[in-house]
Amino acid sequence: MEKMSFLPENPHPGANVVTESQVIAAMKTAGLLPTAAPSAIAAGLSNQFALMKRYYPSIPLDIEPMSHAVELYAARA
Amino acid sequence: MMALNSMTIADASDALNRREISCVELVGAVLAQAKAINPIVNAFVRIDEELALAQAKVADILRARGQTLGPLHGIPMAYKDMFHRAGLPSSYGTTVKATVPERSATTLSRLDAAGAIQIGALNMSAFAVGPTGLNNSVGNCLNPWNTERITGGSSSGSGAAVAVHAAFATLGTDTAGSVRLPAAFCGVTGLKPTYGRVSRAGVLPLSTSLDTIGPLARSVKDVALVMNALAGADVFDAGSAHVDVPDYVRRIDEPVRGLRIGVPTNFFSEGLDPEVRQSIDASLQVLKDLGCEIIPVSIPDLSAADAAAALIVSCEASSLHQEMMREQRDGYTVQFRMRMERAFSTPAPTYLDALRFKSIELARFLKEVFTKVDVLHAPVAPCLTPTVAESNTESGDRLDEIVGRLVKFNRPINFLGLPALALPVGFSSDAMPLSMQLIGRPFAEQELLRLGHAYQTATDWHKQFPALARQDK
Repeated sequence: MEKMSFLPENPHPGANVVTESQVIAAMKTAGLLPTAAPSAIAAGLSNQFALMKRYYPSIPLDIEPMSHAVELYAARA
Repeated sequence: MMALNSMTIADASDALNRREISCVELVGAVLAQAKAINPIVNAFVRIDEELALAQAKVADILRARGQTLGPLHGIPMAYKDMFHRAGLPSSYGTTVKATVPERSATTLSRLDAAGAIQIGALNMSAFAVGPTGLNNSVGNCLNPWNTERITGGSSSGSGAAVAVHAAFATLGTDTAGSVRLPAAFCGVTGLKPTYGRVSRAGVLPLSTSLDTIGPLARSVKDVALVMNALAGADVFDAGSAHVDVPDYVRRIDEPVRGLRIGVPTNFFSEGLDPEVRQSIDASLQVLKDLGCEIIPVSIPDLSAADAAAALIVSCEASSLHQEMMREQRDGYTVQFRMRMERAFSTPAPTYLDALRFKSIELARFLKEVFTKVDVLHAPVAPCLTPTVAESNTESGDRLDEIVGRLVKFNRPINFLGLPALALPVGFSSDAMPLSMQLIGRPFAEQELLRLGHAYQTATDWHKQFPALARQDK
C-alpha cells in the first residue's frame, strides 16, 4: 500500500488503515463484485481516513452528526 | 426583434405582458430550437412537444383573462431527468428500470404554480455522478461551444440547453459542483444555493447530507427570477431550512460599493491554468471598478473537508443504490461503481465522524473567512474545458485524477453547505467559456445575486452565445 506522507501526524497510527482483505470481505458481505482492484480501494480509503483523522481530536463530544449546520450558524450570525 | 428563444426571461415576460408575443409562439420557438440542436448536442432525453404546447395555450388563455401567474408565466424551462414528474418515468441518465412517480417534485410543482412550462427532460451523468457530464449509457451530451469538449456535469443537459437557447432556464442538482461545472463550461449562469434553501423532495437523491438544487439561466437576473419561485421550506424535505426567503429580484439593482471581496491567497489560487488566472484577475478588476473592496484572504486547509465529503457521498449513495447495483449491475457505469464501492469498507463511526466534522469545518471557515470578507471570489475549475476524448475514461486509470481536478474547488463548498454563484468571465484562446464563482455566507444568495448582476451589468460575457444557438444554423 502506498505510504502517505501525512501518516506520521496521525495521532492513532494504524487505526485508520484499510487492508485489501477487509475490502474483499466487505464486498462479499454486500453481495457485489468489486469493479476496482481491492488494493486500490484499500489505498484510497486509507488516504481518506488519514486525512480526516488528523482532525478527530478537535471534534468535541457534543457535536452531533447533522445536516442543519448552515441553518444553525445562520441563526447565530 | 431578437429571436424569441434567445431572449432573457425578463425580456420575454415583458414582451408577453405587452401582448407582442404569445406563450404559444414562445414555447414553439424554444421547442423548434430544442428539436434542431438535439441531434448535435444531445441535451434532451425527452422533448414534451405536445404537452408543452397545450400548456402554452392554457397560459395564453389565462393571460387574456388577466390571470397572469408572475414573471415565469409561459416561460419554457427544462429539468434534469431526475426531477420527478407525476406519471412520467425518469431515466436518471441510465437504462435501469425506474418506477413511475405518483407525485411531482416540490420544485416542479412550485415552478408550475409560477406558470413555467416544462418542454422536456435533460441529459445528465448517470445517477448524477460524474463531473465530466459524459454518459455512456444514454449518450454523451456535448458542449454547444465545441462538440469535442465536455459540458461539465453532472447536470450536463441543464448547461447545454441554456447555452444553446433551447430553454430559458433549467434545473440542476449540485452535490460536488454539478450546477457550477456545466454552467462554467457552457458559459451560462448557475446558482448552487445554501444547503436546505431549495427543497429536494421528489428528486433522486445522491447524498442527502450534501445535495442541493439550483437553477441555470442566461443571466443572474433570470436565476433570481427562478429562485423566487423555488426557495423556501418544505415539509417533504427533512433537510429543508426554516429561514426567511427574501425577494431575490427586488434589491438586485442596489449598488455593491463597499462590499468586501475575498481573494484567496491559497487553495483556490493553486494550480490554475494561466488563462483561467488571467480571466479571474480581470473579473476582480471589474468588481474593484464597481467599488468593491478587494481583500486577500487565507483559506483554511480544505483537504480534510474534501476527503470527508467524498466519504459521505459514497456512503449515502451506496446505501441508496446497493440493492439496484446487485440486481442491475450493467445499468451502472464503471465510474459510478468504483466511487460507491469504497463505502462498503467504511466503518459506520467513520461516516458519522465525517458528518460531525461538517459543522466544525463550517464554524472554522466562517470565522477565518467570513468575518473578514462578505463574498469569496474563486474559479469554478482550475483548468480549461477538457476534451471528450481525454475525459471519456471507463477504465478507471485516470478517473480519480479527472474527478479530483474538476471537483476540487466545488465539493468542499458543498461540504460547508455554502451558496455559490457561477458566472461567465471571458473566453480561453480556444474560444471556450471561462467562469468564476462567488461564494457567500449561509443564505446570502441575495448578496451573491446582487454582486453577480452588477458584474453582468458592467460586462457582456453572459450575452455571448455559441453558433449553434442561432436559428439559421
